[in-house]
Amino acid sequence: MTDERVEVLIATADEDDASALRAALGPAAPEGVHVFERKNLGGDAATWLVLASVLAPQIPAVLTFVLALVNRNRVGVLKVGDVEITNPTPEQVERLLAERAPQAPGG
Amino acid sequence: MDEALLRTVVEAQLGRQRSWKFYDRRKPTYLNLVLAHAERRANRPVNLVWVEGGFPELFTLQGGGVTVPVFSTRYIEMSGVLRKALTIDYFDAARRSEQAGYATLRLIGEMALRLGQADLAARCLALSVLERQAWIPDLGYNDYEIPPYDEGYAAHWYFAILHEIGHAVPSPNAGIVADGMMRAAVEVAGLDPDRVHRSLQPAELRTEAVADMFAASMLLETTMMIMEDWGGDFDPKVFMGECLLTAAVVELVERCRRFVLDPAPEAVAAGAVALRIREIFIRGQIIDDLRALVSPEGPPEKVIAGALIEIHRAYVAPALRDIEPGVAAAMRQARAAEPSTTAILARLRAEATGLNPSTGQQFELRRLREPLRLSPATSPLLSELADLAESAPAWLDVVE
Repeated sequence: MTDERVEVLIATADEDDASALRAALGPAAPEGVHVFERKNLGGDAATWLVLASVLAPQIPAVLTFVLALVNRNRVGVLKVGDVEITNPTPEQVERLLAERAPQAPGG
Repeated sequence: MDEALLRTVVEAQLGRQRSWKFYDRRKPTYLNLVLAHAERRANRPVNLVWVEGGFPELFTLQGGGVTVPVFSTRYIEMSGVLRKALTIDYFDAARRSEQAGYATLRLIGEMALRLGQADLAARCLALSVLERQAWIPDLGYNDYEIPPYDEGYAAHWYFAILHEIGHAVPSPNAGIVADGMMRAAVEVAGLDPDRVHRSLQPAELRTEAVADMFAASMLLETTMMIMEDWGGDFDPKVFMGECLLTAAVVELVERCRRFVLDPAPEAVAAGAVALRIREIFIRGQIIDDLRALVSPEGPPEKVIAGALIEIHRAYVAPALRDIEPGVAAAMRQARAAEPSTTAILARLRAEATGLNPSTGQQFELRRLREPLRLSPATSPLLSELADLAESAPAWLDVVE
């Protein structure tokens, strides 16, 4: 089992989605999950940013959860390690998922 | 909180705007005086992010026990242009309306760039410099740093920052910001509180009203501190006027941002009503604070309220009326089907590369290079505009 951590950041416009993400990422993030609210001067467009250092082997599980939100068009930004996608599509998340999927032994 | 973590969050929000820093809190500046005072009152540490240039926006990141206002110098520049357009003795009404129209196009254009709406950005930015006769310099933010350090200076630089810090102040559903009061304010504005846009729902309105009231209070206290230090004579009436002017500028900037995000009439109208309701709370806070701070034994509430109403009636309302035709025309042009953006860009190219291009136009085109470079938005129309911006003479850079 590796201890490698990968930084994951997700931006969503919905507070409930941010809470769900915090709960989903929690078990995979030993140092905790940080949630920031972004508010504009006019106060009418809050965004929630969910940030965590996630254990590398847990990334596929996290991405699977994120994919469900992306399918409903609920994610504004997704950053996994060095890869950052604005308004991610399900196909883009599936590609990330495939790249991060555990390899079969000897594969 | 871990600074590396904060950096990640800030960078995720600023995208390509790499020219930013956490503001150095050790510097002996008036901004630090304001931040320290607000920090004490909010009982929460404040890490201000200073974006050099960037886009005309201001927002707060809040979480993990810290408040991070993100402040761009471009906001100071564009709000400075609008303050001039709203200053009644600056030019005649027609000229101010015209200048407000150009500023509106520029603001919508830059915000469209920021929000990834490339074609809207190309259209509005091109219109903001096309066939323009009068060029009132769009000053750099450094030009707004010079004295006098008075009521206007403080309101221009600090009100919005203080509003953002005010988001750290608890806003319980009680007193004058209770749900019932918020619903009543919406009803007075002629809307059904049960069927309104999110920005007019009690919890949303309350959060903003509380931040505004905090900002008004802190602005009064810190303006007096700054003027005492600098050696100016604080004038409560001037302060009231500057607060109302600043609220009007915030409304104009936000109107442009909403226009980009959601041009649906109901969203635009809801945003405008929300800002008008918020202004009522700002006025109330100013009245309370002036009574308590300036003259505890002085004029009664009625007299201060009367002065505020009179300042609004005599200066702010006519100024807003004067510029409204220009702002409304700019918004119509921004989304009109004709002329096409291609045609507008062709006219701009002919003008900018013709025999006698205007220096003002070349200067403004050159200044577009930075927001165009920072934006993630791309399109053939934007590329054409970027090409024109690149072809403006480089020697204009040193003029800034």
